[in-house]
Amino acid sequence: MRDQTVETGDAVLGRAMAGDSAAFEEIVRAHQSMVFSVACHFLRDPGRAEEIAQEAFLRLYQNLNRIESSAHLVQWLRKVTWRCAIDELRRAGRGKETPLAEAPEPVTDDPPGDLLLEGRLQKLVASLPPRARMMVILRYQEDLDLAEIARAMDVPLNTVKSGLARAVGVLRQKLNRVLGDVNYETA
Amino acid sequence: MKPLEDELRNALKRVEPPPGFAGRVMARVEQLAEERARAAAKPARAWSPWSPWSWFGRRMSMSFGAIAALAAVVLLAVGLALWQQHRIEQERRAGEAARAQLIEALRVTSAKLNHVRSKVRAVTVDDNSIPRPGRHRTSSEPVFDGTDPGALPAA
Repeated sequence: MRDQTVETGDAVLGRAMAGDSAAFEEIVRAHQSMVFSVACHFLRDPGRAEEIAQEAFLRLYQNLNRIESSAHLVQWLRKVTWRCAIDELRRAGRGKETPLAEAPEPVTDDPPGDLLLEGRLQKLVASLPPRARMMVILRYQEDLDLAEIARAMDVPLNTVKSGLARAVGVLRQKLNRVLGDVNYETA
Repeated sequence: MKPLEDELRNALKRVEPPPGFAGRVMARVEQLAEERARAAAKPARAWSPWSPWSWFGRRMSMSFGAIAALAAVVLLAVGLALWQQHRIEQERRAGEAARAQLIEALRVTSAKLNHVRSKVRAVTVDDNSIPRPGRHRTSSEPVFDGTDPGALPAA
């Protein structure tokens, strides 16, 4: 089944590289959720996330001849989405890297004890510095292993290991502080 | 209770883009493709024997900007060389003028000194011809014989 999917992906990629716009649209539809979600969780702004996602696919179209396989395409899209997103943050002047421990906690109007944990967690993730934030998103949204995250972000593997561990630690502390009596442990 | 990692997976699950996203991307892609096609279809600049750049620019694949930059560099180098030559010439002329001035000054000084020396000699000769009362010459005192004690011996 998986082999068939890969073959299909490679076949679609081949047609797109040959200039078939329907095949390229198929690629867009297959990966739009991944690209848009990464940008959306990173920026927490659907409008800007759509711009980033569109930009990533335009760059893909311009560089189709450099894509070697459907697996390479996915890696390439992750990398470009990360670069576009960080560029967007820098353009907006909000890309200053702050130390993880000094990252501000999100301001929330939710009353304590709120059950909307997802929203709280999303806000906490959004309060992380950009690099740590992207590591968390790639790890828990895309379920990537550490080496894949390192490749996508062009950083050393050890940087991902330490950065992700620290980010999760900070998230746990902040979540425990916000929720008071609840203690989150590592799985 | 679920561990934090599971809560994160739940909070960060994929979200679908707004409806029509793929269509908007494809519209931009088509626009880009059209621009590319227009750029590719743009006719190359026609060759003209009257254009000074035509044969050279085509054969050497050099753009007008590159040729202009090269010409500017050559002009700058020639200008620098000419200026340097001019500066050396000026220094040489100034040196020659200073040398001539020095020679003239030495000549004038020499003439003045000769004049003064002849005057001094005349005064000394006159002074020795007058006898001085009460003054006796000692044996160690040199006798002035009319020659210049400071003069160099004749070769």
